[in-house]
Amino acid sequence: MFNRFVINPPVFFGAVSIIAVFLLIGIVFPGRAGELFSALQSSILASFGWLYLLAVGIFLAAVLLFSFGQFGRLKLGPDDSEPEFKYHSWVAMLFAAGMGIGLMFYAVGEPMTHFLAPPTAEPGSIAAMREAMTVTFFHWGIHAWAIYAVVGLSLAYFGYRYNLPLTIRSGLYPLLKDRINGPIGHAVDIFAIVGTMFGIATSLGLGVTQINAGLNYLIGLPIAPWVQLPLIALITAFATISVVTGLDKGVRILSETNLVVAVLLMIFVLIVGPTADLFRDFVQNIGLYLDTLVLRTFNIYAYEPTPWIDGWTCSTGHGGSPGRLSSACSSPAFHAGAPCVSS
Amino acid sequence: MFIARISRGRTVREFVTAVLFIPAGFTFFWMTVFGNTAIFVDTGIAAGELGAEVARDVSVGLFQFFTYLPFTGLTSTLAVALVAIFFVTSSDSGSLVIDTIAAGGETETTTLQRVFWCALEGLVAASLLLAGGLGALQSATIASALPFTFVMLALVWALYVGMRADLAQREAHAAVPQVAPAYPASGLTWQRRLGLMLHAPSEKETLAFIQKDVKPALEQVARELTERGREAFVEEEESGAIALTSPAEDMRNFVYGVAPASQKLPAFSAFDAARSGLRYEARTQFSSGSKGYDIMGMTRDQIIHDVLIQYERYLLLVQSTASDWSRRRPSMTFRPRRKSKGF
Repeated sequence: MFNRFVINPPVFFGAVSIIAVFLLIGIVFPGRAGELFSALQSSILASFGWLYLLAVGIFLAAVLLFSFGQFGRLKLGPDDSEPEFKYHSWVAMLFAAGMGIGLMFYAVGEPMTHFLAPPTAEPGSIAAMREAMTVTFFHWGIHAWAIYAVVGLSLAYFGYRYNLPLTIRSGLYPLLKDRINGPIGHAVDIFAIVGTMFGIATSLGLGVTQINAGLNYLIGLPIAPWVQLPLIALITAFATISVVTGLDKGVRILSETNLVVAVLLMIFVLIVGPTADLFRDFVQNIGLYLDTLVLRTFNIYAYEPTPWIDGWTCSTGHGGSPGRLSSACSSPAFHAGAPCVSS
Repeated sequence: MFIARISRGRTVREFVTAVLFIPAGFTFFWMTVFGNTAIFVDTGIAAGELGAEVARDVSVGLFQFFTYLPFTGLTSTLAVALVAIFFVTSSDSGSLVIDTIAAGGETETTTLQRVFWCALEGLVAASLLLAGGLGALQSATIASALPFTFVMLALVWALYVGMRADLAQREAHAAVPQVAPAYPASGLTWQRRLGLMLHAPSEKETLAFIQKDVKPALEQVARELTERGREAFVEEEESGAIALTSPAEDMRNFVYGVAPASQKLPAFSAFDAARSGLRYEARTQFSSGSKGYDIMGMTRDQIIHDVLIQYERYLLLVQSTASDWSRRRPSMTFRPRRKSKGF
């Protein structure tokens, strides 16, 4: 039966068993595992938090240098390859890539939370308002996308220009040569799969709690696991059906419609909200963002330690506790992959 | 991965600028609209109540927010539907990404596999939600981000090495005088040449041509090369593609490949346009990924002649920069792997 499967056995079975182990730990000792992991997390953040920030800074600088230097003219594919999609539809697809569960979940939550508990300003003040929006922009801005850009660039460059398989290991080809097919390559790919799996699972967890909250509001369903579990089962079943019946086209139409509806929702808020103020705020936010871009890139509050940085900028995002920068570190692109691949 | 897949044929510059700024720009606007309106509502009519709700539970934030705007029922329902559909699409696409990596970069996998990953995602999300292991998982993800940060730094370095090598190769290419490839059907009467030009070969004819003329020609050259102490062999693929490879150490292999390719027929009349058939060609492919051309209609001798021209060009390239080459571009051997795309 396995003959019919198209798999890379070490990676497939490696990834599945690691996921199973994590799952067992999480189910059997939720409390203990939680303690252990959060102890590990805080010690890593205490010692290496700076490294995460520095690495993201490097990624951003690197992709910008690649694009503006001579390298910028190299093609992601053979020199005579032509883009598959027209420029406009390509831009639209990237636009869709920015949209997903995370944006629905944090749209109100993240700015509000920062507003009430800003890193340095007085909570609820004008300064807090300013800080809230800058920090939100920072977490959702070009830094997060620099991480996706690194992985995407590496995949596309070595996948299409060197004709290597479309996996993470191929990105290491110039360094490892044919050894990418050995244990190192397997490890990298397994890592990527496990990271993606848990990234998506957390994202799905978020989605379900939000659906539950919405149903609670709409029809009074209580917010409880026994509501959420059937919801996960139901929606996963839908996803599975779409996979089985090859409704890829259907899913594509669905996600395009979804994007349009999301944009309409945004326009609705824009209109019923303080419209002129919002445009003004937008310009102001961009200005604040640009102004603090460099500082925030490297700001770890080294001289005035605050728990805020570990809690937000460095902690996992997309997932439960917000700020998605380093969650992106853990499973880049795939994360974006989640909202991304959809359309 | 999605952003990589849609970007084949784009330049590095296009890719980086678009990936960094388009999704981030959309997100900025989204966050401004929802975030600033929320803060506006909270400091205005809600008098701090919205903030208190968000602080208690982030997932209800959006719905609480909608209660302060008109058409609450409609917007909340839409929001629930949006999250649910994003859930389906991200589960669907996430399993696709994971499936591709687990299959060693193969995108054409079996349905059962995709169902497996899809179901596993739901299972992981559900059991973590049930066991309350979501927090543990998030901590684990942050902890695991550390090694992945190093992998990503390696990816950046590998990209730099690969791009530099490609640029060096391109410069070397430019330094070698361009040799005109043999012209298909030169030496025939002009009437036959015209006939060949206007004739649109079918797939069958192309495959037959590759078998009948190209294969013996390549085999002859391979035999001769082997006799002269240069290893060379001819490989065939199911797709009908065929390639002469002469492996080399410390530099690119010499590859002269011929693959069937199709093109839309140019329509010279409305009648043609309505039929819009495909014209099949026997296109050459080289290890550098450089431009291929159609050799359909060449005689066996002409093909051999053409191979020699390309071989001479290859030797010139290799020798002219031999000293440089091994230093600047160590064995970037092109190992074609993917079946779906010829070599």
